[in-house]
Amino acid sequence: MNRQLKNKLFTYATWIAVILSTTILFFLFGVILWNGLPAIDFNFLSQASSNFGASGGIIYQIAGSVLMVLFSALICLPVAIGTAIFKSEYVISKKLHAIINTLIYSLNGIPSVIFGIFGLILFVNILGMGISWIVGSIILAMMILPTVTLSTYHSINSIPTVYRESSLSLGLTKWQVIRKVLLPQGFSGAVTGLLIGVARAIGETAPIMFIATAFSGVAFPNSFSEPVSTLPTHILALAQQATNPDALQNAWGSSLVLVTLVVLFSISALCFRLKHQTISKR
Amino acid sequence: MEQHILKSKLSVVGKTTEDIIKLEGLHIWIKENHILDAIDVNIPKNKITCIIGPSGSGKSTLIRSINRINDDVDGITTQGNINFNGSSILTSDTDIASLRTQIGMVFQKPCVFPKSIKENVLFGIRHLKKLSKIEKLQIVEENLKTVSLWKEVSHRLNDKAISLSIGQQQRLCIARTLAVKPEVILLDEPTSSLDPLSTRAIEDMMVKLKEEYTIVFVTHNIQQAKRIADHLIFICDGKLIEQGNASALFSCPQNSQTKAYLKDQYCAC
Ligand SMILES: Nc1ncnc2c1ncn2[C@@H]1O[C@H](COP(=O)(O)OP(=O)(O)OP(=O)(O)O)[C@@H](O)[C@H]1O
Ligand SMILES: [Mg+2]
Repeated sequence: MNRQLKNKLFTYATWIAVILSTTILFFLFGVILWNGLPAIDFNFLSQASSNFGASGGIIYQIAGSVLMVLFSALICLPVAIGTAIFKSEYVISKKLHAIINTLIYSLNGIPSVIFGIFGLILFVNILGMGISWIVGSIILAMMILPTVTLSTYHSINSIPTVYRESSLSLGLTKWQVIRKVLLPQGFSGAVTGLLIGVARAIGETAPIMFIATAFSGVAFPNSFSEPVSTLPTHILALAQQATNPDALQNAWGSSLVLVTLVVLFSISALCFRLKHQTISKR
Repeated sequence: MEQHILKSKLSVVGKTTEDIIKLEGLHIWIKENHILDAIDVNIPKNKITCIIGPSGSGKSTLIRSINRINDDVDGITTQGNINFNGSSILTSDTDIASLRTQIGMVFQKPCVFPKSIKENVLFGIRHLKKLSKIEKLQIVEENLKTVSLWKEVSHRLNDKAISLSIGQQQRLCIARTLAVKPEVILLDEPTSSLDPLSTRAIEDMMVKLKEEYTIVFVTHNIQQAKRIADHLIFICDGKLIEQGNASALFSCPQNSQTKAYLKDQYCAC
C-alpha cells in the first residue's frame, strides 16, 4: 500500500471515530430529551412526589441532590487544597511524589459501591450516625477528592518558580507566598476540579443508596442526620416500577433534569477554566 | 595570586570602603556536582560589584546563595561561610525572611504579579508592615520616580502591570525591591531580556542607586561591566579566577585567563 493511501485511510478512520462518538452522545441526549420533555412541566419541578414517584414532582429529589453535592464540595475543598499545597510546595523527594500519586490514583480507582459499603460500615454502623445525607456528603467528598486535589495541584504547580522566588526575595515567608501568590492562582484549579467532581458526584447512586437516601416520604431535611431523596436513587426506584407507564415517564423526566444538572456543572467548569487562565500560561 | 589579593585589600583600605558582604571558602554542591569551589570574595559597600564569567560558570548559583534563595534547590549542599555586616548568614537560626528584606533580588526575566502597577510596587512592603493610604501613595511615587517610571505610568497606576513593556516591567521589579528598603540589591542578568535603550536606563539607574545601596550585578556582557562596575569578580568553572578594582582589572588583569576572557569572552578553564 502506498503511503498516501495509508495516510488517507488513517484520516478517514479518525473521522469515523469522531462521528461515531458524537452520534452516540447526541443519540443519548436525544432519547432522554424526547422521552423526558413530555414529563416536565412547572408542577413536576415544584411539587413533592407522591404515589412512589408515579405522580407528583421531584422538587425534594432535586433539593436533596444539590444539598448533598454542595456539602461534599465544602468538605472536599479544604482537604484537597491542603494536599495539593503539601504535594506541590513541601514534597521534594521524587519517591514521595510517586507514593502520593499512587495513593491518589488508587483512591480514584476504587469502585463507587465500595465507598457505599465503607460508609455503611464506618459511619452508619460503627459511628452510629444513622442513614443521613451528611454521611452521603462525606462519602461523595472522598470520591471526588482525587479529582479536586489533582486539578488544584496542577494549577499551583504550573506557576513558574520565579514567582515564588520573587516573592520570597521580597521577604515574604513561605506561608505568605502560599497564601498571597499560590492560592489565589491555584484557586481556579480547585474550583474547576470541584465542578468536575460535583458533576460526577451528583449522578452517583451506589455510594449513597445505603447510607444517605430514602426512596419515598422524605421532604427537605431539618437536620444533618436525616435521609434525603436524590435524583439518581429516585430514577432507580422508578425504573423498578417500569410496568407503570406514569412511573416510567417520570423516570425519563428525572433523568433529563439530572443530565441537565451534570451538563450545567461541566459547562461551568469549562467556562471557569477558560476565564481564569492565569499567570501560569505566560 | 596571594600577592594580588593582598594588593586588592590594600586598595580597599586606601579608599576606606568597608566590605558589606564577605564570602569565605564557599563550596556548593548540587547532588554530586561541585558547582562552586572555594570562593573567597568580598563585596564593597555602596559600590557596584559585577560578577562576570562564561555561561554555566556558577554566577547565578553564587549570587543566589547570598540571599539564600538557593536553599530550596533539590539536593544542594553548602559549605563555607557568608558574612553580612559582620555576622554569618548561613547559620540554622538565621531569620531568612528578614535577611531577604535586607538583601533584595531582581531576576533575569521581569516577573510582575497579576495585579495593578501600584499593587506591584507595594507587594513586598505591605506584607512587612501596616501602611496607611497616604504612606502607600508616597512609597509608590517615591520608588517609581527612582526607577524613572513615574512620568510614564503615574496616570495609570491601577492598570495591570502586565500591560507594561518588558523594560518597564523590569524597572517595576526594581522599584518593588527598593520599596522594601534593602541594603544590598542582587541582580542576576537583569538586562539580558531587554532592548538596548532599557538596558542603558537600568545601567544609569544602578550608578545612581549605589549612593544608597550596595549593588551586586551579574552580567555576561563585558562591555556592560566595563560601563558600570567598581569592583569586578571573574569566575570560571566554579572557581574564582580574579577579583579586584574594576578599572585596574580591565586595564591590566594579573591572570592570563582573565586577560583572555576580557579580550575575546573566551575562557579555557
Ligand atoms: N538546580 C540545579 N540542578 C542541577 N544543576 C544545576 C542547578 N542549577 C545550576 N546547576 C548547574 O550549576 C552550574 C552553574 O550554573 P549557574 O546557573 O550558576 O551558571 P551561570 O554562570 O549563572 O550561567 P548563565 O550565564 O548561563 O546564567 C551549571 O553547570 C548548572 O548546570
Ligand atoms: Mg545565570
